[in-house]
Amino acid sequence: MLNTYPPGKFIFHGAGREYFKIWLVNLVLTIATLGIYAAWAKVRTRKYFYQSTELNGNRFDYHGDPKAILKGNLLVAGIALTYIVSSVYSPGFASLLVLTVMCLMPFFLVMSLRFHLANSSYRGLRFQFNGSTKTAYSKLALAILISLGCFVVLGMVYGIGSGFVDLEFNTVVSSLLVIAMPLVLMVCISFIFAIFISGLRLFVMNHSKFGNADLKCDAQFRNFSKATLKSISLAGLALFLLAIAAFAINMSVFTDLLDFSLPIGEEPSMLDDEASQEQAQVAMQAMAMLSSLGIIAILAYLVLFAFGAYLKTAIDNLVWNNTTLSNRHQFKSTASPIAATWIHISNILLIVCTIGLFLPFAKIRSTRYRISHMTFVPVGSIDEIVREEQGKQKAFGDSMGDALGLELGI
Amino acid sequence: MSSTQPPTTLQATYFNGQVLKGTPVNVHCGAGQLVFFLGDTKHAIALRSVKRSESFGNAPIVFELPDGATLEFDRESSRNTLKFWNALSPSWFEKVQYHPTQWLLISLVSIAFAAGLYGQGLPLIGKWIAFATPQSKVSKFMEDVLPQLDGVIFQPSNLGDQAKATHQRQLKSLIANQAGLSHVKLAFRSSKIGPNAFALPDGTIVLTDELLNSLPAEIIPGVLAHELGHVELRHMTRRLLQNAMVGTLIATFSGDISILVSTLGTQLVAQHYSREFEREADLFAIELFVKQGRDLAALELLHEKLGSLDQSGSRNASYLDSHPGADERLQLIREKQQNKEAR
Repeated sequence: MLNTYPPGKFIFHGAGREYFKIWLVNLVLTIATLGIYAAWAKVRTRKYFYQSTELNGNRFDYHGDPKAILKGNLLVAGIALTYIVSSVYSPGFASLLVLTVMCLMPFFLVMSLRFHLANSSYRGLRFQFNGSTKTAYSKLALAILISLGCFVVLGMVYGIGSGFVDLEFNTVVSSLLVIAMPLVLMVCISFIFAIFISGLRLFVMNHSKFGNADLKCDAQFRNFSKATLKSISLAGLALFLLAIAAFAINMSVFTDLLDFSLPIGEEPSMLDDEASQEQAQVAMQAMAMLSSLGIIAILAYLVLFAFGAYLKTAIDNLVWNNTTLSNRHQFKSTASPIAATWIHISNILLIVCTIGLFLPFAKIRSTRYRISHMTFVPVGSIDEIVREEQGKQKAFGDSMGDALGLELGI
Repeated sequence: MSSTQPPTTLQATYFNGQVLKGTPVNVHCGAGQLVFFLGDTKHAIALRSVKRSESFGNAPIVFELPDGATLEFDRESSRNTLKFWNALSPSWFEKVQYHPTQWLLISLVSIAFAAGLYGQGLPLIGKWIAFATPQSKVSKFMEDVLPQLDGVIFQPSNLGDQAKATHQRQLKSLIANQAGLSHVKLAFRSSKIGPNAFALPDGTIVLTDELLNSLPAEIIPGVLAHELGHVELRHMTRRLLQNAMVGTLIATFSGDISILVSTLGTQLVAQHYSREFEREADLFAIELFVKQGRDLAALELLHEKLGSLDQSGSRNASYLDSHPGADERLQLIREKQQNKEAR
């Protein structure tokens, strides 16, 4: 019959009002059961999103066992409690704990991916992750070494640069250097970002399988760097403009108010009328300035969120457009980073305005955008993909990964 | 229309869990079995060995067969027939999603239960733990809290020895017959956070120079009595425990709740607890004063003074954010006084 499939568009059927109903029950039950229910909530949420994703007439599915996830959650809660209690009477132990958890991150990542993929399916076939902890650690170690090297070089360049400025070598040269330094810094940071992101994404993709078919991504490092450089430049530009705005506001207040520095944040301890009136006036003006600076700070925060969304979309596109299944079938991801960023930012604003109630709608909105811009392009038949035996998975890494905010964009 | 018999067969897609390709099949149900043909082979599977996995929205209904194969039914066209067959009903969670009233009911009940738990349950647990732990152990755990604070918000006191001795005497006379308070010590500090007094978990009461300078010495026993209330009732320990519990719970929630909502919640809960504690400490102070035959006017004066200190800032938000407003406290004292006079 259908031996060669037509190019399959991914379709997302999720609806905000449906997910809102799931989300609210999950939320209140989680709170009412002191968090025990969170494991079931997680499985049901994933089930909803997976089952809402259709490819060529069939839905994806998720099969995680809530009891396994509960065990992981209890472990996380135990660690969190130990941290909170120990940070009160033994900060040294608390920081040691944080350090240990940080060192175990690659391990948790691998465990998390194994559990997650082994419990994801399409047409009755499971995905799987066969990356090893050892590889994860060696890749991470390499990435850290290269970035440290970058910082050393950056430090040297900076040292030489400021040396030139100190020498007052020439006003033109030194002002050029002042402008060049942030640019060099930006390039360096983009490079480091690209190392970490490409390392992580390629590690994840190249050790993932669907049934017995390998997923392979051959995206070039140079393209990762391009994506990070572009995102960081845009974010840098936005932050620069904000800094100018903040500077302008500062100046406008300073011109008619020279000594405002004293009263902010201090308890008014004088009861003298005149003094407190003067203080009040000064405080008012300072407040006006602070609130406009506060808006700038919020905008700066939004720029960082926007940067995250832009970069993620650009990287998703890059990774999927260079990924093959069984070395033949291809994927196409055509999401626009700008549109994705807009969705993300407007989501954040709406979530804040609705004290969180928009959250489920936001999640649906961004997922729909991402998934409906994905296409699977089979080359020939995909029917030779068959099941491959895999071992049982433990879930505690999965919970760890989630608790530590590892976002797995599968 | 109700006489219309539901169909005896249902269309489904069979996935054997081994290959990608699905097979359309006609499924019958009878005698506790699901029956379908794959080619010429008859498959009869006992219903009790089949698991119905949850699915939501318009996603297909999935039956998981014992050998790892699955049967997928279109939700719209097969829901009623499956119900009629009485074959594997959906989970309560799935059912609730399709019944708005049930959904609303379960949400409201859970919200009410959660409110009760967090408003009453957690403070009770915290109280129980705080009083079950011997004070000597608490003191040992918490002995380096003050040294840590010293680095951050406190500087050495500039107070004269004379004044210090006066306050030590005041404390001594307050705790004279209080068995549970014999471990209380005084510490004098100059602080960056203005006039303030704290009771630390190990029973150390910290008085800041700023507070002592802005209040007349004779009303300091009022401050001390209030702080002794915090020590006696182990408020700081209970607060730490409550915060730890709420913090842990939030750690387990994370992922599905926006940080915004959760931190807002903790703030509100914490604020509520601490106001409760301030009231308890005020009451303790008043009772201590009454017991020792002291003049409640000193307490009244204290809160009037504190009130006027507040006026220069904003009204009702007091020298510690969470303290009840001065008016409220004065009210409390006056009520007590009236009771005392009535007796």
